[in-house]
Amino acid sequence: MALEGGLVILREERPQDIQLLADLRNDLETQAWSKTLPPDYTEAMYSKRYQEREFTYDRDDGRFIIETLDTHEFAGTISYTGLEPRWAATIGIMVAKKFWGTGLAYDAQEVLLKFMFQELGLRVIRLYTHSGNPRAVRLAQKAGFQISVRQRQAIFKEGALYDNLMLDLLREEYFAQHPELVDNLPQLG
Amino acid sequence: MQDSVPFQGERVSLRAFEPEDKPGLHAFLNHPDLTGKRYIPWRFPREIPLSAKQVEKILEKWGEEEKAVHLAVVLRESQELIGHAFIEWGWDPHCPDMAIVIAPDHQRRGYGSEVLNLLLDYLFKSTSAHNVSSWMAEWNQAARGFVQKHGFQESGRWRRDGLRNGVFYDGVPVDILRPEWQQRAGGSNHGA
Repeated sequence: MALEGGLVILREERPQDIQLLADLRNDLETQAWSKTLPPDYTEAMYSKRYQEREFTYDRDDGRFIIETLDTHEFAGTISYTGLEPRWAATIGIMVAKKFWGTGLAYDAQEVLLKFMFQELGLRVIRLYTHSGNPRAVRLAQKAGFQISVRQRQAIFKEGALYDNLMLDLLREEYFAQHPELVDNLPQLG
Repeated sequence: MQDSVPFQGERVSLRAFEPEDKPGLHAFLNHPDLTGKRYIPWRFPREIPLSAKQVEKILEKWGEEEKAVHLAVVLRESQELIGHAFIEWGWDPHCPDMAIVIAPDHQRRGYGSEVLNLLLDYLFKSTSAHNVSSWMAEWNQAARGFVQKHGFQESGRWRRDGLRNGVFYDGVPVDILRPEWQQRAGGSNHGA
């Protein structure tokens, strides 16, 4: 069963994605990280990153390509890192600019969140952005995330100081937004 | 303005950890009063008692870090190990993290304040730090009061950071900005 939403599927990385991944990283607007990375990543670097990924069952991350459901086009990438099993993980997303404003990022995020709550059985999901990226904040808030930490003036980029933001979504908040789903994971706390 | 000696307080000093610190570190990290209050690497248990081997691995990890420094807190007079302090820059020296642990048998004597002043002096006088942050569990009222007294502000909540006595608890991140520190440092004599 694929991780599939109304607009996208999430799938593993493949060799044909490598140049597109470098392109996403090399656009200051799409990389959108709190730490600005130099836009000089090469296909060779991404190829090495792809080749060096080792097989293991003991995973604390997941990396997916966002592909359009109808045309099977590469639209971006979404991932989770720092998995604490049955507890928490942190998500991140990058979407190619031509798909901004199409609802595709929201759809990809919903597909990943459902996987993380219903398959991984997590109790809280977190994400980081900064106060200079209202687009990322709105996307997260649309899924029910709230700003829980505002670390003042901790980010400097685009010639300005911004607050570092941590947003989080609790399991029961997610299920409250999704009355069509039933939460069968034992309650803690 | 009098020059202060980095990492040397009135009664305590900070130095690198050495292999001989293992028994002392082992003893205080396992003190029941430090349950949930120790700052050890990711993947080591937060609450469970640590073996000597685990403490050795923790010391190894601390020694290998390139973007963090872990220091032993020792009493100047006796050189007794009484705590652990660290600064972590991660990817950005603009906003380092830090934390201090004083062994329970040596708490409530002002050593933590001395160490905090040494770390902030170093960060704001010798590095490009602008926002210095730390964190503690919400139930750790002593630590929350301690950092507040030293000018830190709470910056939100890490919701559902852990489970304790059957109840979820949040983590409390705190921070202080360079201008806030300057204002305080200008108005008072540090180890006072």
